[in-house]
Amino acid sequence: MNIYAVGTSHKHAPLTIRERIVFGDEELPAALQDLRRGGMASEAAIVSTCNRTEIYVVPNAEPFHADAVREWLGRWKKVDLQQGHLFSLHAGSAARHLFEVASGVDSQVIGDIQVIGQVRTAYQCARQNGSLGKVLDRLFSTALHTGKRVKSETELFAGAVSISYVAVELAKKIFHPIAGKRTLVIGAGDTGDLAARNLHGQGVTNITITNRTESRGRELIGRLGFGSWMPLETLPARLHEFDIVIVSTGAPNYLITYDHARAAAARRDGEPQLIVDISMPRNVDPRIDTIPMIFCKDLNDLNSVVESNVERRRAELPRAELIIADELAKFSAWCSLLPVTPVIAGLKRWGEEIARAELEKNRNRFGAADFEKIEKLVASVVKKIIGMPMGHLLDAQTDAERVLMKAEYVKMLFNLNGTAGDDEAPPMNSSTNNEPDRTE
Amino acid sequence: MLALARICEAILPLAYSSAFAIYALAFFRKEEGAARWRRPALVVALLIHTALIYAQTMYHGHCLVYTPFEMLTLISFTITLTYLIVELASGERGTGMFFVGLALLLQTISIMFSPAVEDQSANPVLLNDAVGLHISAALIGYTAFAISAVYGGLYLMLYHQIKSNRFGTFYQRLPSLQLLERMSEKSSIVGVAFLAVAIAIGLIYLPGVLPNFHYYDPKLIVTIAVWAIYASALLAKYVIKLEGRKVVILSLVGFFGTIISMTLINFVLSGFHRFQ
Repeated sequence: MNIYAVGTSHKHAPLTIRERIVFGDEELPAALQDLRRGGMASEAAIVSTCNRTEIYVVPNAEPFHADAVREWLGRWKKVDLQQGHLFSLHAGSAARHLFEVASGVDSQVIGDIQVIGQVRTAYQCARQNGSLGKVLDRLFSTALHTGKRVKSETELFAGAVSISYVAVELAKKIFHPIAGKRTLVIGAGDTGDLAARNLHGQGVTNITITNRTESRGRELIGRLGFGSWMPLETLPARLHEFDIVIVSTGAPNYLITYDHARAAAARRDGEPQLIVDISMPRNVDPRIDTIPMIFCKDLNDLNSVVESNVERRRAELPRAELIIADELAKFSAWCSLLPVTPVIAGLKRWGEEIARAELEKNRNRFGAADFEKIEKLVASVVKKIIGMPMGHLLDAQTDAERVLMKAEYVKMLFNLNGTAGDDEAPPMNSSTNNEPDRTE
Repeated sequence: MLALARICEAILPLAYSSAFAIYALAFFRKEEGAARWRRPALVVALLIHTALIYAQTMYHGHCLVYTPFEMLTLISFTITLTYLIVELASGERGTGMFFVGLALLLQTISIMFSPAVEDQSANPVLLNDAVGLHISAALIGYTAFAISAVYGGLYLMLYHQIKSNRFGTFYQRLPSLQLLERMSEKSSIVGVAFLAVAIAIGLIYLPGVLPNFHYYDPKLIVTIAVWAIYASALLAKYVIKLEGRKVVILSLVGFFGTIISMTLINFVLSGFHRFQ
């Protein structure tokens, strides 16, 4: 498995370094071409996100040293990169690393769901630019498959781990469907902006903004591109109209008092109401949570959700690692068969050529219908004859060294020297057929 | 038929236990194998249950309604079937463990207390169409109440988890509060409608069919009382806009009231509602 991974992430370099070597979408095609054109790599792919820049290559020739990639990166980015800022991995370690990245195991926030999409983007970009060969193609597709397995078989991606997403998750746990719910965002700052965007992303379209300063509120509506304005003075009288209320202001007092909430609850006909207070100091009287059917959560409550979700994700790491090990073993098995693919192709061609020659010699001895039957019969016999040595070569239980030895024997036995050259990947059996679902 | 009934009776609790264990595993640990096998396991249990009901019905020539414990097996069957339909239609699997658990419980009680198949004697009253309709309507009504109770229980559990900031496995796995409330409410509506039919048939036709019919039969009184509780809970929801949580509590009171009073009536009192 001749794969090298060189790069950096939040674990290796500070933001000041990471931001200087990040690759933009428009820059990637040229960079990938340069990696290959320079003769360094026969295959290349770059994963570049806000937290990591990683270059995966299959070298063109041996001997190869990962420093070559580091030097190329420094040259390309015009940055003097120190050894300590980059990691370099080879073979199984490189593959495992990419599987961990695609599974969210290596993310700054464990189980970062975005990482699957980022690895997929890197894969697609490299594919479109023709910089993938069979090895990296297989490596990335297996990595995506691994990420998908980790997502579906473990809890690594479960539960929100940011305050604004926790608020959305909480709303989804109370309301069904969330899309039609009337939402009020109190405060026109960044947090209110983010909360409104997250809710809108979940299909909530009925969003009202209120703020002490009207101009700032209207400014937020303009920035968001959705939402309607409500004067803050009308809040007590109109509180009952909203299912979800997000409060995020710098006010030093309670904007929603216990009496406001009680009066609103009485007018809501028993319908639940979620009030999320992400202000500091609090803008919502915490006693409101004692009113039936009103769920009032402050920063403390939301933080406890975040903590419990992070803890739950951490507890899932061993299960994710098992999946990664399983996929790595399959990938390694596939890689060990790579050297024998030309032999297999040669063997097939050898059998087919003999059959074709013999059939041509005897074509005139049979009628068209009979000849067609004989053609099929001969093809079937040839397939069975070459099937036996092929089966031995593709035995997944055999170690790489023995596979190569067997391949040499087959080449000698069938005089295949010089006939090989088909650049096809090893056949995939059911256990290694792990093409990812690209519709995700 | 007797042999088939005996075999099914023996393996059915095992089948339900396996399905319950697999659903529980999928609920608590999100095991891939469990997630893949839970529905097939439930279908197997349902098929065995179908075979049991078929064998017993064929053996006796009529439906299983000798004792409340035999009725329980039918209720258990309809709960499982209803849940499977809901699961297939909505894709919602977070509540499966609770329904399969309830079905397992009811089926176990049924097998423990029902007389042996060959010891049961047929009652010609059961062959009457009006009685058949009455029993079927009551069966569907009580099943709907049982389903409503499961959804209601889960609603209260999730409500208290959110209120008390306990965001554990139940919080993660259960569907939303409003969905649970709606499912509970819809099941109650079905229950009230079918029990109303059962009561109406009982009051109109049964006096002519059953020679010892009387209006003071404890089971009849309890059934009407249960129906009244559910009907008033629904009425309160729609007319005086009683909050969902209180409607759920009222429904649960109705359900547990049914279980307790029916058990007491069947062990302590007697009436025309015994078909043995």
